[in-house]
Amino acid sequence: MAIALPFLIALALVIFVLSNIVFFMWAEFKISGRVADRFGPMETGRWHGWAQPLADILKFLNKEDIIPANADKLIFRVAPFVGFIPVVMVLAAIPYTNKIFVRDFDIAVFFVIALSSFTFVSMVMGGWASGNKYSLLGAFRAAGMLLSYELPLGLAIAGVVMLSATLSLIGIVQQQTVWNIVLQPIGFLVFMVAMQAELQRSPFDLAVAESELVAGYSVEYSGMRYAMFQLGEFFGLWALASMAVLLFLGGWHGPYLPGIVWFFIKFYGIFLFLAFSRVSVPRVRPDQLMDLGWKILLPSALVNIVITATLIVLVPHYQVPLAVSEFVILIAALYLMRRVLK
Amino acid sequence: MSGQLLAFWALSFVILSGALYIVMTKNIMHAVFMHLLTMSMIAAVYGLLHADFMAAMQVLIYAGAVTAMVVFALMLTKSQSRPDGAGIAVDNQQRGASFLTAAGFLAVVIYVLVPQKWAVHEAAPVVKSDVAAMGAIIFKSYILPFEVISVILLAALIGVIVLARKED
Repeated sequence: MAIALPFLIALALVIFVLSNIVFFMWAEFKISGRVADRFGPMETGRWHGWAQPLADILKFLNKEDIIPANADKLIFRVAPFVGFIPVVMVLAAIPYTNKIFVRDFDIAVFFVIALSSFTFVSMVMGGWASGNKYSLLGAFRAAGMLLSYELPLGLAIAGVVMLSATLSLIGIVQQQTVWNIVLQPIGFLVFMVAMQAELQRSPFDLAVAESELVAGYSVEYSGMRYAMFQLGEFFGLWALASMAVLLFLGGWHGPYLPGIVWFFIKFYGIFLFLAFSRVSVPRVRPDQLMDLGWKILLPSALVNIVITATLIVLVPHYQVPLAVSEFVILIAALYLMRRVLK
Repeated sequence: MSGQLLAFWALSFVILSGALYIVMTKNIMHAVFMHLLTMSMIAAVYGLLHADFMAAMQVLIYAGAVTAMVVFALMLTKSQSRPDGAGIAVDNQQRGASFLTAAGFLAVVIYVLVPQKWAVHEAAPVVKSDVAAMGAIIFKSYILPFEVISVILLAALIGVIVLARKED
């Protein structure tokens, strides 16, 4: 029994996350439907089509697993797992409150960032091994994109790590008497944009762009293997949205309600933001994507690091000057950007 | 034999055979993906030694960034390997010279390494990996080498930009 306990906990965690993912899928159907002035699914399961994601999953399980004739068979088969397994491993590092967590990693932040870099490899593997031009184009778009957005994502987190002087996610949350979003508004903005690119969600879904590349790296996939790519994306969403909550929004801190409730209120806030930005912003072109990544996000993240580091070293009580200077620079930058873009 | 040692031997087998596959295969994309596997397994060895930070860095830099770089290089050059199995010629006229070089290097390695007495511990010492201590060492005791490295990297970066913009 004592040996089986960790496995039971892991199983319970994965089932909990999976049931949330089923809810994500339904919520996204409904939100994108309402935004487009439709109802979204209404029939399956009678009440507002609540069973639609379950029906989709059953459909994936029943479909034939097709492997194209000129595919690299082994790599084609392995690719979905290369992306999926590391993203599930990330769940081990995410704390929900200071009591409910799997393991308090010393280097949790690095652990999450390092494992999420496997997503791109699985896309390149799948896209290249399919032996299809559209897949290959999608794969290389994914490679270029993740390479340019991993950097701002990591640098945005670096500011938070400097403030809390620890890489443990529990430690970072315990340090936040003031939420880090107040001290690091630039870092938070960069993180939120880079996160959407990292998750390959619209407006950054260039690698799967249905209207240009059919479905990018996943054109040739069907059945369960295709579902693995999709599920991996949702697990990645779980991981990065939790990271946003833990790093910038004070994790489980909040008045009156228990910590776990606060965590999920903030978590679903981030989820709603992602769902709305998916349906309200058009897809960017590849060159716009590179411009945004290298000319705006990366310099912003570097400016954020320089300001944070300078104030931590020079000023004894750096919280107020840091928050003020970050906000002033952010507003000035946004104003200038509007002027330039006009 | 402890489980740790068993895991170490299993990982070593995968790492060495993976490394051999990388240099022997004719399909360059297979080499890239096997490189990823080998690097991840080396990260696992670091994990086995309780060097969590090193393991994460290994995954982030070698499995993530270096693989991405190689994929990019292949994308920009005219790679001839395709999923249908067509490979590239990995042979040329330099067989004899390269064999002599490799054999000489192997001889030096054997000459240096074989007489050494290697201490084999049954279990790795359990030291808590301390990232704060590591940071303090790098940014206090070894700040000068660290800065020299950053200047060299900056010089390389500027050099690449200058070379790439030559046509203006």
